[in-house]
Amino acid sequence: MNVALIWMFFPAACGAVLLFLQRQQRLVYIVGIVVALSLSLLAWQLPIGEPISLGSAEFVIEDSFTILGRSFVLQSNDRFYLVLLYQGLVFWFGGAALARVNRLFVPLGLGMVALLTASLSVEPFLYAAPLLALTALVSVPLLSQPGKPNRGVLRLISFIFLGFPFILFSGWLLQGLETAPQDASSLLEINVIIGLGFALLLGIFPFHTWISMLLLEGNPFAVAFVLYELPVAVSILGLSFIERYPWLITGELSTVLQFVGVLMVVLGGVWAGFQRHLGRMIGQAVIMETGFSLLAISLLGSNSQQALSLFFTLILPRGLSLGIWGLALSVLQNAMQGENKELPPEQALNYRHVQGIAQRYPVASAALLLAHFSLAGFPLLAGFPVRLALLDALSDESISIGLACLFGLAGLMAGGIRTLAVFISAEGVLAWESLETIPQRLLLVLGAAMLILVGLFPQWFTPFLVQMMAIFPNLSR
Amino acid sequence: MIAQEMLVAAAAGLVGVTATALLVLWTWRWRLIVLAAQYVGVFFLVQASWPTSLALTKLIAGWIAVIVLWLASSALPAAGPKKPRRFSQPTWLTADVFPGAVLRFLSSLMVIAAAISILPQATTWLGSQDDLTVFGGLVLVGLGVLHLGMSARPFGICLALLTFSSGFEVLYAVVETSAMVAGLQAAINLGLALAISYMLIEPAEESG
Repeated sequence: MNVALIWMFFPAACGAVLLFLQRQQRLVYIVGIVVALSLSLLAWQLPIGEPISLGSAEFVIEDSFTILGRSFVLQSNDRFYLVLLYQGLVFWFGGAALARVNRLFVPLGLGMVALLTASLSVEPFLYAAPLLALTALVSVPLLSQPGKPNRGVLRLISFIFLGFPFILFSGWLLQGLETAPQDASSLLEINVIIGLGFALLLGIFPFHTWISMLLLEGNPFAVAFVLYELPVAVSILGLSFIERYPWLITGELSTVLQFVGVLMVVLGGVWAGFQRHLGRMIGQAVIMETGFSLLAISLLGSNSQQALSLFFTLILPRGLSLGIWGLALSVLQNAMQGENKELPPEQALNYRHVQGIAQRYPVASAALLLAHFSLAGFPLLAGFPVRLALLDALSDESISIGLACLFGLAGLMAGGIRTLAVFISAEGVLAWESLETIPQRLLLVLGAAMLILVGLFPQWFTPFLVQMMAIFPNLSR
Repeated sequence: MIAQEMLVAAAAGLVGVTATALLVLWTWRWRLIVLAAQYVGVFFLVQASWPTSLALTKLIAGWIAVIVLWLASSALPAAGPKKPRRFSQPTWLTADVFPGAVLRFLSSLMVIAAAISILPQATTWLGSQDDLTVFGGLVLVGLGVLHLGMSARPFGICLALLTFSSGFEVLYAVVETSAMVAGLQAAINLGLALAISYMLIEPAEESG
């Protein structure tokens, strides 16, 4: 028994089997949720590399698996990330059942998470780049409908294809530097190559255009899932580079990261403030989230423990908010298309079509706004504590960075206030009703309650998230 | 040794011709036949750096990708990806097929010239003695990016990305020999062909 069998091959095999059970959707969702829940519980409870007694039998979960001359290694300190990955999957699968996503969501979701686990564990770590490219390709059916090419998906694939070779080449150059003396020009060359690679993979300005395009044509919940999973995995690959080559995070790189991070937060915020499409609004929030992650990573040079804890603490509010935002949007999109069959999907979430929708879908509207304001850092919601801590840390470096981030957040907040105004401004006087189904209402209310709970009691969740720092023993020292 | 060098030279010439032809041709059948021929060139270029058995993965995976695309394209209605998109108001680029093809051909010649000009620096940077292999890789990367910039439809984008990916594989083979990378790249190429096929083919109406 080894880690690859449990957290990579087993979910991938389950996904493959579920592909053949497409006519029994309820069974597919139940099996998917049970598998993800079991794997997260195993990650939480099962010691890796230590003897386990089961009655009279004793066995060890081997921490490595070798294939084609390379190893996949998962150690005890990776367990918390596995718990987050598979626990998150339970949450996403639960929502998918209500969001009317593509039938392939559960099988491909399992396959994607198996690949993400492989990308975390592969040695040497830079081989994670092609695994992430493969993950992006697996996500294609979730993002577009068969026979209907989606421009955002085509652009995503193009950027991922252009980006991962840069990562592989930079790894080769870095290996060369280990044996040869370092000089300033080769360091600059490597930084430029790594920077280009990550800019393409993460959708960093000016390669961010696909993010909003995806949300125009795809199911918002499925897109939110991909936009949550992929950037986190790519950022972890970036941190692996710094863990392996700590001298990469020089003062200049920190400055570049801060500049790019601030640029993304400010541009995302300004665009959100003027946005008139609810789907694109999530896209701007995701661009800002990438900016915040970069800003957290930029602090590695001054205080690596604080930087890592901020980076990992950002993940939970982001996942929670994106999930609820995506689910609420899917409910509203399906409602709009149900009411007007001729409405093209990309126009269903325009402001003029959702005017006054809060009177018919109050729970989805309220959940959407809470998720929106959470990512905008509204006090007492999930995103607030970590944004406060991040702005505090950034302001210690430079007050202007903190102010610029506040400006970006104000833009996202303004977008939320405009959405609120559109939701409640109905033409004429209509009676209030709630047209969401009961399971939709339950899940949305539960999600909204979680947003408030995480915001009110961050101390209940932060210790668990901070433990994920253990993935990077050198940086968290 | 000389025979090997001639083979690599022929392969470098072949990929230059095929990558240019992929840009200029419009009929999906011819483009896929040319792509299949391109993978033969890629195989010989990679084989100059890697063992033959490992280099064969490029050829086999590439041909499988071509078959997948062939099946998907043949399942499309007659108005499949044959001609460039006609705009209601023709521009200088799209007014007619022939001028567009000439423009693409001249652009590809410029990319090939650029590949020749940066060849000495590239071989030094990669620490390779094999100029022709590096040239083949550079041409594929350059023409792949050019093709990507000139394509808006999934089929064209797929061909462009496969060309770019082949160029990268040739260049990466010069610096690293790894079965894992070969396997992953094969999976990525196949994954791309499948993903694009998914976007091309509309599902059949379910009966009953």
